[in-house]
Amino acid sequence: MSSLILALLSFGAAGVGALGGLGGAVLLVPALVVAGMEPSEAAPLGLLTVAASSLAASSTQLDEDTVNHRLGVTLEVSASAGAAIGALVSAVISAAVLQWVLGVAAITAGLAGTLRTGSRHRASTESTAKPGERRGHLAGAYREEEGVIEYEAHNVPVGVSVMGVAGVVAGMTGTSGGFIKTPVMTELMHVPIKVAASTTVFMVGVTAASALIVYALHGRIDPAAAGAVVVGGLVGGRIGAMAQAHLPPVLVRRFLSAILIGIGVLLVVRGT
Amino acid sequence: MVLNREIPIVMVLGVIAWLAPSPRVSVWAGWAMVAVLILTPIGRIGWLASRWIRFDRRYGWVAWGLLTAVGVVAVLAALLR
Repeated sequence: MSSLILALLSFGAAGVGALGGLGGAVLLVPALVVAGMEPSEAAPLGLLTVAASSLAASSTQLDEDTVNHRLGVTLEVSASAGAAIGALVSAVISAAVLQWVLGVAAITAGLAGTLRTGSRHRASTESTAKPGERRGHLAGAYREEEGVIEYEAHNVPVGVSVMGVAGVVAGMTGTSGGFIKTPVMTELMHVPIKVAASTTVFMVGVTAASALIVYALHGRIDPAAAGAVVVGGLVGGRIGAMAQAHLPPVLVRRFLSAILIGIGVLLVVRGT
Repeated sequence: MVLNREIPIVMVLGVIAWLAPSPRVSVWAGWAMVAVLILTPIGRIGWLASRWIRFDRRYGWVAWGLLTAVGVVAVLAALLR
């Protein structure tokens, strides 16, 4: 596949992904596979766009005090180990199985996008909690227009275990695994969606880095293709994020979910 | 804290890797970009680990545990090449 096509695919995937708040890799990797690339070749390219977009988003989220680094680091221990295992396993399993796993991941991401719920946390105008994370705890607070929202993570051992699975999926398929991480944090660990989404963006950069160490040491990254994909992804993600403010979010998310489920079904059918 | 000042570096290296007429330059720029993308998040964890170990020891150890896990991964990946 030519570098220009790779850059254009990455640009489109990151742009559309940013519109729906899903990230680009979950669209890019299935698109590359449908276009004829081997899943094991597409995976590291997807992880590179995940790492780059995580890096690009980090300063904005730090300014907003919505990333809980203690929670992210705690959950990353299993996610990073899982990602490395996933990257190692992807070298020895067949392309058909990888395609099937990727298809299931795309369908899961599509469903997670449609089923996303609102926050169960209410803002308090009387709270004196300082925005940011709380020292010594997996808890914190952040400011909304209506007041301060306090939260604390629950079911941490279960969350850590599921993050290991998310890491394996990310390392094996090259998607961020964010479509598993954010719902696990909101639904299982009772973390507000804003904190969960920001913490996921912080986490996926570390997950991607762990898996990329394996791909790099095994010589499974094409540097020229990597350059095209990362540049296309960063530009597309930036434009998508700017356009997001002017489009109805629910409609965009549903449209994106429908595309993901369609691609996922296609990959599952091709992989079986 | 290291912020996203790395993005312009990643963009420049990415463009060189993609469009450089010399394959040798392209390969070097590509690997340099990959190194930035791998080392920046790990560097951030290192920064958090060294900060927390002084005033939030419990999570300082968790962060060091994560760094150790990543180190073990690197060694394992090198051995299984």
